[in-house]
Amino acid sequence: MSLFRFLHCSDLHIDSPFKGMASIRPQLAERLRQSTFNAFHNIVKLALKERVDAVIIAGDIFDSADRSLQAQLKFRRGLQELSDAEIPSFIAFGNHDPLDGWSASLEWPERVHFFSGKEIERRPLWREGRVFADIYGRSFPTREVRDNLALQFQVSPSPAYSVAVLHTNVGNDVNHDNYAPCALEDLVSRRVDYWALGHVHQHRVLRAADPAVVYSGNSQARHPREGGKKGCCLVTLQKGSSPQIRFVPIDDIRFHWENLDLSGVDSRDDILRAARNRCELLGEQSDGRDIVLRLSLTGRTRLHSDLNKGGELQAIEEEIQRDFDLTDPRIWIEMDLQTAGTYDVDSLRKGKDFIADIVSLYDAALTGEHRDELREVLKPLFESWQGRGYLEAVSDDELQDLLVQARALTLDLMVPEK
Amino acid sequence: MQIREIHIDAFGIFADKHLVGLKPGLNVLYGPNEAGKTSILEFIRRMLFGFPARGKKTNLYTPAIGSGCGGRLKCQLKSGDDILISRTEGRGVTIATPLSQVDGQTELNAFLGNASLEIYQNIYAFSLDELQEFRSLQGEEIKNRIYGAGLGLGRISPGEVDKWLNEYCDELFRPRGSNQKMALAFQEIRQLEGEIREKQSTLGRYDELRRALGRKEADRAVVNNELEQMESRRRAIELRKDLFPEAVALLNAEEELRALPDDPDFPEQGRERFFAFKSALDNLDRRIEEENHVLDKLRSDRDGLVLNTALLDHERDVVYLRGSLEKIRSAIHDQVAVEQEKEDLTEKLKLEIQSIDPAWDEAKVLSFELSEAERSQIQAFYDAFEQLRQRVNRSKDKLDMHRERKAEEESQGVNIPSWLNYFARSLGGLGLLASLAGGFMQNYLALGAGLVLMGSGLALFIKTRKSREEFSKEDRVEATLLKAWEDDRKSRDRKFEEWHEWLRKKGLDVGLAPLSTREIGNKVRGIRLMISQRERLDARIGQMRETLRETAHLFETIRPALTLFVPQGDLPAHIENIGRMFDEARKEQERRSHLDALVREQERKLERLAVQRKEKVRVLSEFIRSAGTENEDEFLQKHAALERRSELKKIVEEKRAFIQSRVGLGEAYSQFLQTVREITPEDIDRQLQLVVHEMEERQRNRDKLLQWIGETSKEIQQLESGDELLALQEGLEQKRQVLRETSRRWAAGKIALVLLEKAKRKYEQTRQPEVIKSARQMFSDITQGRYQHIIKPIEQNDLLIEDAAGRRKTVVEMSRGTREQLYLAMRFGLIEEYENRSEPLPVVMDDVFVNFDDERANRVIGHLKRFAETRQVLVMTCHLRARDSYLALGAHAISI
Repeated sequence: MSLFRFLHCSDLHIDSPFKGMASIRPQLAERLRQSTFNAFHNIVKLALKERVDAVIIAGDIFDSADRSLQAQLKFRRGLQELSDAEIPSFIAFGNHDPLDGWSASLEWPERVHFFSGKEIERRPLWREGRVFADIYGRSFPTREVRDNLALQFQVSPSPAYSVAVLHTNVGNDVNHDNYAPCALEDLVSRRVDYWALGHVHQHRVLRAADPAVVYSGNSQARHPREGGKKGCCLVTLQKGSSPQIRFVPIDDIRFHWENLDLSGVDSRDDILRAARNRCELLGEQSDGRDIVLRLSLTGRTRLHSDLNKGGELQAIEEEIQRDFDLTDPRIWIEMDLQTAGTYDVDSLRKGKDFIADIVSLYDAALTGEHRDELREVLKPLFESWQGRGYLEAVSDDELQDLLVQARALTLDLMVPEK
Repeated sequence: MQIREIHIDAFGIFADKHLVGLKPGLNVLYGPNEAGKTSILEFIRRMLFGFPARGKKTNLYTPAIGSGCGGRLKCQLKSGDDILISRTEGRGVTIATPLSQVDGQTELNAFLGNASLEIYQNIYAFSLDELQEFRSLQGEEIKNRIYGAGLGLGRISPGEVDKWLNEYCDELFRPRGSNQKMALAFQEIRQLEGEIREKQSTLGRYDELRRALGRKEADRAVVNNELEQMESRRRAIELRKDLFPEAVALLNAEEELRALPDDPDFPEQGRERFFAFKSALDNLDRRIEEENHVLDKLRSDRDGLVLNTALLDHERDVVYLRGSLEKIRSAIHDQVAVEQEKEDLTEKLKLEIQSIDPAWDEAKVLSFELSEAERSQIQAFYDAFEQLRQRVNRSKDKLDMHRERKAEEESQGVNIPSWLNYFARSLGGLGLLASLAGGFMQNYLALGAGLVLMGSGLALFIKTRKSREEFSKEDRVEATLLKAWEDDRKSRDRKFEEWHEWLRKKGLDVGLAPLSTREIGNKVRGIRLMISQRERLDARIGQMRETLRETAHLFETIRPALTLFVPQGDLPAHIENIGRMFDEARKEQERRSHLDALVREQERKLERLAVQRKEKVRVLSEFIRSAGTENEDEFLQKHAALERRSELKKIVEEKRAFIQSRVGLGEAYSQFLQTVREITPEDIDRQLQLVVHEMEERQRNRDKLLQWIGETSKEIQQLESGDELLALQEGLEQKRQVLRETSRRWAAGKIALVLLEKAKRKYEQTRQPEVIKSARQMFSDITQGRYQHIIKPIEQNDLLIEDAAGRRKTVVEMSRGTREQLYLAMRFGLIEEYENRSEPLPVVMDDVFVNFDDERANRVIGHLKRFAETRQVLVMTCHLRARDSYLALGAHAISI
């Protein structure tokens, strides 16, 4: 029996906007906009290069809430390339792109199969007159699917390879929306060679073989917090041995969120140097990919008040950005300020003056006192304001952070410069 | 901490100033004005808290001596430890304890209990100016200064912080505002959402458009179909219209045909044949006429010729003349040349004769003869001369040679080098000697050698001698040679004599040489030739003259016969003319006879033609009759009728074929004709118009459809290619993030405000009242109970004092002295309150009592004493009286 080689990817999120950044440079914005499609296109190119037998996509190709025609057209373009190279694709829809979210009037290329939303379908792959692989799959008919779809998979024994495709939350992981939840045992109990899963944005091999249960992760990060490599899995199944699962990073842009400690840094030049060094280091590690770096400046520094002056942080950002505008790979820098003044809160606490009073008041608040009063004062925005729907409520943890920020704000003003 | 010693290295007016012996409790520093009291106050402050950076707007107390400020403070801590604080401007501070040495302000602060400069400056160490400063200031400042006095703050007060935070928050958010950051971001979000919704509707719109497009394309197909059908109908009607005249013509032709009779007996192609005959006849007539013309022409030509018979009669002469033309020409031409030649020849002849002998003439030449024998004689003479001459020369040469040789040898013999002679002789002599000597000595070698030498010398001598002998022999030879030469000469001369004789016999000049003589023979021959040549030339000239004469004569005879005589030109020219004219005349004659022949021929031809004509006429009439007609007209008429018939038939056929080709055969065809019979052209036109109109309407519809389809397709394409949705969504996400971040910032600001307020409250309620409490106590005492209460209203930023009657005075309303007392009391209160939790610090005061009356001053001093009991207080004054008061209290005095 020959080998069965295929590409497993999911959560392409083509044309979904980038989140988590308050302002994006127009060039970067343009780049980010194209990144999901580029990542998908990289997948297509990889499939063509490796001449795989099939491409399997486990859902969330785009976000139907966005109702973007372009996303669907771009996806179609990629599928057309695969079809022209005679590579079949098998697609199961997930919670973000359920069946009812797709355009009714688009025509799809040959050799593209979308799994039905009503029941598990089985699609055979032929080679030399015989079926050599079966692909099982099921799509989300609508967004809200809370059933355990894994249980519906019935796999008949056969000499051919079998691969099952599903968009699901295995093990009720609270970090992810609980769509089509199932347990790992549910998956393992089906007699397939490989479970191609989607939904979790991190590549994870839950089980290496018999059957292999794999999340390919998403193909392109969409939030600064989604750092690390993103890609797809190149899988080779061979009868008699465990599946070979090779993760291939194909993301177009990679994100890093790092802290740059400015404690003890006295001069602006030092900041620039430190930042540049960090960028260069990341550049070397990125395999030629463009990088978006979110650099949080932390630590106590004498330059704290300078940095807080309007436009200064931006100027520093601009200076560093200029250096990396034309490098290969390109690095985009965003900075935010988390520094504190060089006053030492502890020594201030020891003082016997109004500042010390303030500090001890904050200490009390940080341990939980005055919470009600604090929440009361936030109500005009978070509960009464007409735009409150766009705001997230302040959690207790966040309140802690806010207290720290408020204290910094106050002390910055009150502690005199030396 | 208390100060024990003050060492000033350089500060203001001081250099190397030492104040020692400061004690716990009250210390009074006394000095007149400008002694430097304030400097010392400042010095202490700066030693403890640092020299201000250059550039700050404050008195730097730059030392007069020029170096940087610096000095030391020796202090004692509450614990009893001594510390030495050394500070130099620009070099930081060092604190030396008995056990260790540390440096840096932070370390010092630890010893100072973390008091700040501001605390120290406002509470502990102050001058009168500073005390007085607040005189005209109102509420807020006071409170805040007082707070400031106890809050450890510098420039910014809680009120200002409060204000700042409020502004900060207000910029970000106000509940009903629309210009704050939150509101603006919110507006933008709404707008973006609207735009996004609009763009998102494209998805639905897309599907809709595609469906509509499908429908409209189906409609278009239907309309196209209808149009096609109408088109074919229209074409049918048009066809009918086109063919209508043809059909009508057809029907008419058929009708006429039916009316005409037929005659099968009419000869085939009767008309053609008739006309063939007629035309043949006509041709013939024409020909006859032509030939007649020709005949006439010939005749006239012939009669027009003119002959020059006179000239013709002179034929023979003319021929002759022409034949002699060449001769005449050459005669004319050569005559002159030949005559010239003759002249030349005669001249030459003369010269030649002269060259032989000037006395000779032609006759002599002719008579002279040189035969061959004579010639050979001459030759023999010549040869003999040569021979003899050679001999003579040879013998001369021999003789000469001999003489030369003799001379040579003579000279040689004479010129036998003398050394050779001597050599020979010496050689012989030597040899002789040698042999003698050898013989004498019996040396055989010498003897031999000597003999040899002698022999050689002898031989040599003999040789020279020989030469001389030979030489004389020679003389005899010479004589012989001489004789020979003489003989030869003689022979030669004799020959010459012979020759001269011969010449004489011949009658020639004796001086002639043989060769020249021979030459004469040749010349004579040549001259003879020339003479005969000359004779020939004469003959030629005679001939030429004759010829010319003859021809001229002949010419004269012919001249009358010439019709045209051109006098110019020479005889040959005339002859040529004659020749030409003769030829012409001849030609005319020939032509004439030729023409005659032609005329005759022509006449014969005409006769023949007449006969042919007759025959043709006959055949024609026969033909006419055979067609059943009497005459030509009848014939033609009949023919015409029949012609018409066939014409009509042709028309019918043509039209039928044409119509059938367009309409079809059989049923379609008869249908068509039937229709033609039934309708009118107007009907057809009407039908056509109707169809065209309908078609136009349909076409308009179709055009509209096409346009719609085109626009819609374009729109669909645009939808497919538009990319704005993502950009909008991204903008939305950014704005959302802005909203989130701004809300957090606002929240932090709000929280800060809340806690700030709380701190102030706390301070108001807990701290400050303590301060006021202790201050009130002191103040009341100082004022002797006049003012028993100091009140700081909670909601008001003000200090009030209240008298026993309950009357309150604000700070502004107080007198200066009272106010200062109040501030002093406040300070003491603050110090006490502060030191509840801190390391006591030395209090340093300027002369603060100047505005106090005696009673109050004493009371203050009393409090001061109490105050100083547990502290160190340094007071500075320039009043002796005050100093004494202090001393009376037990103060330790120090002079500056």
